[in-house]
Amino acid sequence: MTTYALDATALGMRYRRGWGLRDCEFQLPTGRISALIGPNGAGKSTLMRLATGLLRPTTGSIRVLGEEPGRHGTHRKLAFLAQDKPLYRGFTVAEMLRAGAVLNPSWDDEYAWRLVREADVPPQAKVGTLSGGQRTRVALAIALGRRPEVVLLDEPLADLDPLAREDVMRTLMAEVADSGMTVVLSSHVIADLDGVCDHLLLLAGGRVRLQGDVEDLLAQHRVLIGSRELVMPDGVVEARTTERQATVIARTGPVPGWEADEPSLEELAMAYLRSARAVAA
Amino acid sequence: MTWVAWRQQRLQVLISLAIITALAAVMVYTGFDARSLDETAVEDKYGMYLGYLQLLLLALPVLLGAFAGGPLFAREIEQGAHVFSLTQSIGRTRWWATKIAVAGLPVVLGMTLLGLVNAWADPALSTLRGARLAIPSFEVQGVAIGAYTALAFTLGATAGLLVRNTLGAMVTAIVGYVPVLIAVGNGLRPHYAEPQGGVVDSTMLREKAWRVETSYVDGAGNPVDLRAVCGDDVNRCFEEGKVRVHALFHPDDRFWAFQAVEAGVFLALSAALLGLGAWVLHRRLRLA
Amino acid sequence: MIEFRIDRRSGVATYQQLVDQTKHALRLGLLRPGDQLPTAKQVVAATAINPNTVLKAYRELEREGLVEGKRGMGTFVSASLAQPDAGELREQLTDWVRRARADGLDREYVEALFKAELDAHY
Repeated sequence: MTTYALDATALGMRYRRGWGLRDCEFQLPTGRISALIGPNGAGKSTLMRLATGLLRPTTGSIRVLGEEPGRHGTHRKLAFLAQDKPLYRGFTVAEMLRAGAVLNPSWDDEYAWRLVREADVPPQAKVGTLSGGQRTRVALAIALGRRPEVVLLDEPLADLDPLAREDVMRTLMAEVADSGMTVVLSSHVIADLDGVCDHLLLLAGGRVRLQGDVEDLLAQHRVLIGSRELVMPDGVVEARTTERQATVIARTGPVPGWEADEPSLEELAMAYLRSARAVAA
Repeated sequence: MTWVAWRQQRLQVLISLAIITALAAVMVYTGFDARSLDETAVEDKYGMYLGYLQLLLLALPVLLGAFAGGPLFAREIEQGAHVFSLTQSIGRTRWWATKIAVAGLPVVLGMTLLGLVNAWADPALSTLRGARLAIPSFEVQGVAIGAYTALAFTLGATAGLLVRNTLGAMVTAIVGYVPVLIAVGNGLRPHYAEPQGGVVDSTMLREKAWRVETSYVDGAGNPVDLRAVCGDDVNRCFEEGKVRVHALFHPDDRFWAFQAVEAGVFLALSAALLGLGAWVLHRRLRLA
Repeated sequence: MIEFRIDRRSGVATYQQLVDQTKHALRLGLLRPGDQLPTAKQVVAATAINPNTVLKAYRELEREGLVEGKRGMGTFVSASLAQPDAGELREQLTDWVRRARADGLDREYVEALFKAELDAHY
């Protein structure tokens, strides 16, 4: 039996205001870089918080490397970096690293310090005085210092300037190349994930809309352009028409009469997100 | 986790312990000084001091308790830092228990010691106060003061988990604590032991027993209605010995037994609040 | 050693860009048999792409017999795409282009001519 990095069965999370996630079935494979895509409020953060054990599901279950989150903290092989990069504000960077060391038996001090040094963050600086980019680098160093097999990053690039984004992604990818760890990262900016992710989980309205290997998904879909008189193919995700012309994104192979292209990741994701929104409305 | 909790709470702990130490030093000095003076000199020198000291020691348990307990969880949750703490390799229970112990134990123990120091200093000033068992002398010395601090602290800590707001948690601690203290002092403490009964004479005043009920009896010791027997001239009635004052009271030597019971009551309430906190932490609390 | 440049907006799959750039370097003689390709870590540390993509590109190059992965050591160029010396042909081409220009042929027309000949012979 394959062990997945994350594996959800009938997963649901109900808040006072309604369902944050509902009936979610998905598997994210190990050794891959998975993108968690969806608009704000789609349930991306909820999903990650369920995996860490910060939240307990209302229905169903989620397993991390085959184990449900227990009472003894987050799975030892799982690291989580929340969107607002929570750290102890009054601590210095060096003290934050010490906190990482005492809170984690699997801590790799040398490695965490190396990541901080590479980021050029002064160790005696108070966490509260760091820039967004530095804060992210420190939080990432502490997350990776646990030597996780799976790392969950919730909107890691939000609020970062382009240089800091590039730095963070390069650090992260280099560590993946070294350790072969599994990465799950969420974003509502799909362009950030193109070329980085090889697996996709698309959420909208608390439900899974699309999942799978990115290349397979791209190969299975076509952007079709043709006369609006033509018969629509099967598996239409989204169709837009002008007076004469129709542009269709469909889960299909080549269709006679239509000009067919493989979609880009962004085109594909946007089509699913727009169609989910149209259904909801 | 102990180091992390200490690093987070050390400022609060050190400030509290500094206040406690300063007060203890003042008490020790006063205790020695008052013992070297005669009664009138003590009254002149320490009359005002005792009033202020009692006021301060009545307020201190709830202030230090709320100061330690209110922000303990509330501030960490306000800042979102609990998401960091709880996604490391330690469970919620250890996080909660360690923070409680590191922030709470020093102030509770410190206040208990302060109460004992004050109990040592108190006899030197005993002519300035009423019964040691009565409000407010009882509350400011002995071991109960530590238990009061524990209640204020656990109220603040548990409220912080629930309301997740530092100010709200501290206010809850104060607003919750004061009525309990008043209710226990007036409603519960007189019943910690069966009061003794007797006709009041001057020795009782010297011993400073705590009078909890007063009634009137005739020469044979039967209860009487003062107004029915004496009419309007009450003073003459007493002079003639037709009516005497009978009181229910707790003698002064019950002080330490009462302190123990009172401390037990407040520690039990604190434990119940900790239990509520633990239950909330596991069953009800969405910490994200 | 070569350095890869990834254009995320090109519409060409990332791994294909790596394959193409490696072949280009082989053709121009920038890479010769025995040279080492950058490790996956070096590539991603410079380009912030998925290391699996680098490995996929190297597998593709290996499948085409151009490179060889040596366990624990890295990936090495094992074949050459460099062409026989084209010096004389290039001189003739230069002469021909000069004449075309002197005869007043415009650039687009020359390009079209050249492409038509390429299509006819390749």
